[in-house]
Amino acid sequence: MTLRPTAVRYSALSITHRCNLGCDYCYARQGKGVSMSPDVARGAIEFLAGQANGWCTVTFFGGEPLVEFGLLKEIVEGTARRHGDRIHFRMSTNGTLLDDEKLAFLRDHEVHFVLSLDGDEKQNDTHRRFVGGRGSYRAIERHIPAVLEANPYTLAVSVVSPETAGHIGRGVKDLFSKGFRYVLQTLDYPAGWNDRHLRILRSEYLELADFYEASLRSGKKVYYSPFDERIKTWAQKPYGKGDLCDLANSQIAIAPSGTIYPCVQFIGEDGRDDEANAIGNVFDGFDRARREYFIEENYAEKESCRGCALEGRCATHCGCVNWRATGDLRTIPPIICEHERMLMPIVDRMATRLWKDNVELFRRKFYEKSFPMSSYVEDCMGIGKDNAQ
Amino acid sequence: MKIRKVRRYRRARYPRGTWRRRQKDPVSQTAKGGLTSLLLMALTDACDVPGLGATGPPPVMPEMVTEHEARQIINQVFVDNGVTLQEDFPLVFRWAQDSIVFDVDGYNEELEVGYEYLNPDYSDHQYFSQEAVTALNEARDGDGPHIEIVEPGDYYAMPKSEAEIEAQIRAFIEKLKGMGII
Repeated sequence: MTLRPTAVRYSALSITHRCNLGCDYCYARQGKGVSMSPDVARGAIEFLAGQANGWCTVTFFGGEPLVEFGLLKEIVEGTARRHGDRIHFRMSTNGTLLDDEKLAFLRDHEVHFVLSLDGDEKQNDTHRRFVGGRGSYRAIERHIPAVLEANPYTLAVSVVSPETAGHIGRGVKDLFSKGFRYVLQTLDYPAGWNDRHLRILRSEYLELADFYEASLRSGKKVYYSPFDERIKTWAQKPYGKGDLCDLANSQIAIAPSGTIYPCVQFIGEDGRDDEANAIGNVFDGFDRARREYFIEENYAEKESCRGCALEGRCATHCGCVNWRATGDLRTIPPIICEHERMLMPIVDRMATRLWKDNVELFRRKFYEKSFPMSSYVEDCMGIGKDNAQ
Repeated sequence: MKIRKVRRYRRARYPRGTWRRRQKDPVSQTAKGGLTSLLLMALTDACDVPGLGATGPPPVMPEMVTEHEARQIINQVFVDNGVTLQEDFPLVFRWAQDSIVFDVDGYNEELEVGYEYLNPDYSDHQYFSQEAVTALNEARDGDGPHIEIVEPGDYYAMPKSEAEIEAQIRAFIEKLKGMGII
């Protein structure tokens, strides 16, 4: 197989290992608590500008990137001077350190961000706690109105564990009631899932399917990734290679040391134990052989899925998740398969009802290519504002 | 927990690919799509099936009992015999070497009794492989789940009448009674 790696389009820039939370399911390690030096940060941006061949989106990651807000500002302002708008910035944050000054800077420099927030207080604080043990929900909740005012399309990112599986119905509805319109939710796949947890989860999904269906019927624009992504892979197109996960290829991650990894999930402590996963560094460039190895492994056909009717619609294409759960990019953790076989019929039955009943928003959302733009224009004009939650 | 391939899957009964919005004005519809569009709309409306609009699934031939009608007939026979069915009950059916995921058209979870109507408009025949049908029939006559598969046509693909469908279900229920299941 001859591989020709593509341009880098998306890079996570882990500017610090430090974090003020100690979420017990987090794959990011605090390491030695080091942050990226300004020299490495400059080197990383120059490396990406050279690799991007046109444009690149850089996502600040950590640790918690707002712990190093000064460095973040320096990077954003310096990059704008040197590279104009060829490099865009995004951020993944726990939101607890936001304040007016930071929000204004992020808004003015169009650094859109996703907010890690699992659900309501009970769900969120099960895992997302400060280092001292206190739940983080209250610290985030007070910032939500300002966050959504700055960017109404802010995405809430939620992780579901076996402990919180029975609470996601309330948790997700709470996020939408707070004004979020986009909720991305994924399972903590490496956790100790069993059949009982899945039965509980199924019951929650059924509740959420009713909620989602009612929302679309009443014209409310909601995005809930477990449903939306599975409908899209049927109504629009199934996942192709690299669509869901293109690790080491168009998507990479850069650690505070300047080491390049295939994805943030591989950074670990960014120490000797993680060297085997490195694919280069920002000063010397890519280790081509290592990079191609990871791309090949990620693109390889999964024997266990060959011929499955759900292939192309489920999450088994994410090599990072496979690696984190099984230690191998090609080996799929059984929980993914069980989860998809449970979830897919729930989503498809709901979507079928919406189609058969000719629900306008469903048809526009999934079958009109111009929907994102027309929806945005509607939002700007205040059309259906009451339905925008 | 295991990785299991889904051999056939038919729960997605909404269209694949880009859908184009239908012109609501019948005059412009005719002008754009020609007489065929009107004929299709008329046929669909004539079927009087809830949920089937001109933009919904394709119309069925008028002389064939529709799935909706068949379900009503079958449900009534079950109710007459004291068995309540839940519609579209999700089931993972496993047999020796394989498994199939589907929503049973009507199912009583407690009794493990139900029916599955094979709708040709949704390619149900392709979904249920011969192996799957054989395994389902063996389970029906054995330890369960006891699911009667109802074909809309006979061996020669001639449409079954309402009376024939009703008779099939009555015979199935009699068999269940004989087995002491209901």
